[in-house]
Amino acid sequence: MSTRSAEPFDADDELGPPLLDGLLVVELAEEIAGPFAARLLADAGAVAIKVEPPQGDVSRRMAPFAEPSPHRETSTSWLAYNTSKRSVILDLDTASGRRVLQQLVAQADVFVTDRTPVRLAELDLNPDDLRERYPRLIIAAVTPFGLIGGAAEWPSTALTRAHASGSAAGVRRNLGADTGAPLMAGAKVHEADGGMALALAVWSALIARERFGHGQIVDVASTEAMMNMDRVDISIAHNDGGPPARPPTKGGSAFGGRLECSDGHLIAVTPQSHQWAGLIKSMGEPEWAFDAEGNLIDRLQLGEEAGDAIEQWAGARTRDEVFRALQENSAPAGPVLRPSEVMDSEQMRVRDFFDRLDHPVANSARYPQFAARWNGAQRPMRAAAPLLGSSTADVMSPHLSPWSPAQARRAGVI
Amino acid sequence: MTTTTNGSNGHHGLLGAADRLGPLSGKRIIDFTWAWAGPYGAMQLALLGAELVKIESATRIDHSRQRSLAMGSFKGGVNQAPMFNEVNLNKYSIQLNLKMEGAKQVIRDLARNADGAIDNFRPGILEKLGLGYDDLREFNPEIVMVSASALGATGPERNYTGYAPTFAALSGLSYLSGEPQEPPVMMGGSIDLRAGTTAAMAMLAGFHYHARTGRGQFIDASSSEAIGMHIAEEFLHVDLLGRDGERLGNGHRAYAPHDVFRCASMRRPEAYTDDHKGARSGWIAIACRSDEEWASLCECSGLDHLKEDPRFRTGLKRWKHRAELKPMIEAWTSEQSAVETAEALRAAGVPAAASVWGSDIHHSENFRERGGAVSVRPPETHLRQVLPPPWKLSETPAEIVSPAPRLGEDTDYVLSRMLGYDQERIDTLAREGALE
Repeated sequence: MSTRSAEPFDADDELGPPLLDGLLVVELAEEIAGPFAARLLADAGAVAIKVEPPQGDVSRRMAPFAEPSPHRETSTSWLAYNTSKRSVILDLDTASGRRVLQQLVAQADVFVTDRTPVRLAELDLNPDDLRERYPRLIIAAVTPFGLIGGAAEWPSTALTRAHASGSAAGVRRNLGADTGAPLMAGAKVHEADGGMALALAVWSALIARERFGHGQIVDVASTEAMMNMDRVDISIAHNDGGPPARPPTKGGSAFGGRLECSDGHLIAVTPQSHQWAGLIKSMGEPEWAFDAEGNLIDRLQLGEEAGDAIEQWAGARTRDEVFRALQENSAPAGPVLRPSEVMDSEQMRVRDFFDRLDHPVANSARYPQFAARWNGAQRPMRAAAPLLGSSTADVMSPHLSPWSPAQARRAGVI
Repeated sequence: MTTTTNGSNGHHGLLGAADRLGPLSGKRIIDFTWAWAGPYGAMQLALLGAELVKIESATRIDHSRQRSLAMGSFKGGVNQAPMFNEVNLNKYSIQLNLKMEGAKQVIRDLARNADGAIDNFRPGILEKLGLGYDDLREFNPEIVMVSASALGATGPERNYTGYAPTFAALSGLSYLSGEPQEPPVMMGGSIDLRAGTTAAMAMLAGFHYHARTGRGQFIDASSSEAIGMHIAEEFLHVDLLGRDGERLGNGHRAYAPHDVFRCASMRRPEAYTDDHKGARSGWIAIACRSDEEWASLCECSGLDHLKEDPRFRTGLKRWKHRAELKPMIEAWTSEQSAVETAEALRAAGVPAAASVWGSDIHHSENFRERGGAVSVRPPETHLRQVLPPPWKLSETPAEIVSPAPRLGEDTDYVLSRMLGYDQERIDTLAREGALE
């Protein structure tokens, strides 16, 4: 399938086609990392065919659900990472099911998978073989510990991966002490790291294919993607025996601190002198911040009392009051927002960061976009996650495969 | 393990010395970024083979050469900061004082032959200097420019500034991170690197688009949205469940045990030879998703009697009684070493891992089997082992070929070799103060 658009675009101000117009992605992946990567490609305009077992992606059975009782179409985990895709049911325990998958992969530009080497071999999808069979194919694997190496088949979960990667230790170090238990961050963010790394690598491989004409194998270990997010402090720990854990955060110390406002928490970070000056200006320039000559005293020279005064000042105000006051004076700060507050923020609304997608079973909901606006390309219409197997018949149609839906059904594939 | 060191004539000999072409080999990118998020975003493009020309100035030193949120002030010189090295590998550094007209002309000349530009200034700063996208595109209509700011280039908060901890606060992630009964966690540098990953992906999508359509473009990236994008499911909880999520710490909504447990040590005592730099204390993460995994854990740990305990017989019961379960498991782990115990549990089919950091990551067998660390020697400091890129590409590999540059290390190289300026012109620029 060609990725070059047939339409010429001459006008300077006219938007071009969507980013990945005409690209075919086939996905054999579950839970978060693999599906998130394929979702990013699908949201950017690729046709993404998700191959699911007859009972569906395991995320479809993960709580919580949009409805009071579990329903295979309404798991929020499923809905979040599968927008803009098509769902095809294939029973890969049958030879004919595996054959249809082969045919799909043969036509794909990108094959996204989270299956480990043993399972890929069982499915006759060994990456090296695929690489030989389909020279233009990009085989994009995100597995917990990578395709190569003795840990490839280790059992793991999001928790053990976050700890095996160093990510959880990294979160703990932010708390000002390194003796407590290492702590996974919230909201499955570590798992998303694997998906982001894979999607980035796929885009790199797509560029390489445009330039050099061939596909390749992309091997991302999600634990390595996570550890790279802490590469700075991991390096300092390994090579320099440090760093010391974060300095005390009382009163929003120069290097960042959490303040308690009247309605919740706020983070203020003022390492540069003009930022510190901004914080002091926001507070109405209290005397203790200046020396006898009227010069602002460096934050690091001030003791506990400064921290107490800042905490007291913030504690008497709302997060929003403190946030606006600091930012208006060039002091970096951010209220600790609940997700619902993020969605209601004027900034996010003006930027259309969320778009509302309808779903035939779950209610319509707001989904976050990609965090960048490509000002020269059309933004494709996104769609909510597909119903289980809703594109099985389409994909079995003659132009994609020699299997008619009736034949496939008889063969027990779908 | 591969080693890269600086030659005596500066490091530009190393740059371009990758064994094989990367996906971006031959592409040139003007790198206006500083601090962590922007430089890491740009560095990923350099690891993929692009020439990153980092614009620096002694009048406005990248503060990651001087301090970090985790370390505080750095006591060494501007060419010795370890945090700077980690997010500026494979780059060229040119010193330019962008307030000077001569320096602006250098940028315009670079733009003529550049494929991309990336910055993380507050929106409007580059425009004020006459070096924004609309200016650069006059010289090169096909240029792809990514501008990554705290909250994006549009909207009422476009002029607000931030660092990693504020991006996490404004995205909802901080609120959801921490122990259930504790306040939300202030996140650190990893948030910058996530924002940088998002910006790098935006640039790659722009380059791929250019390869297909010949079109350049401006890309407006928001670091706070970048973190929001990583936690998509949480926003669905709001609209579909009518509530915000909660902090779970190491816990899970349905599984137990699902936690970390203190161990006697990281490794068995005999592992601690004189040159062992890893941690002495250890923690192990254990997750049981099924009765089978729970039964295996009981057998491995000698806690066989718990298998029959009615409090823990089903998943739901274990979850309800998880607070009672924890000390029982910890009584066992606190006599064990983390690495070997995790190994034994995994062999029995139980998801488990030692919770590692720093040197213990470098000591891991799987890390070594996958190629291990890369050694780089920044010129004014010691040999360092750094993590390899997070992707293995079979045909166009990403490679670390050079340590981060010294401040202005490549000024002459960029002006004479990349731009073809003669010595007289370079001397004039220097005399005018454009190269400070």
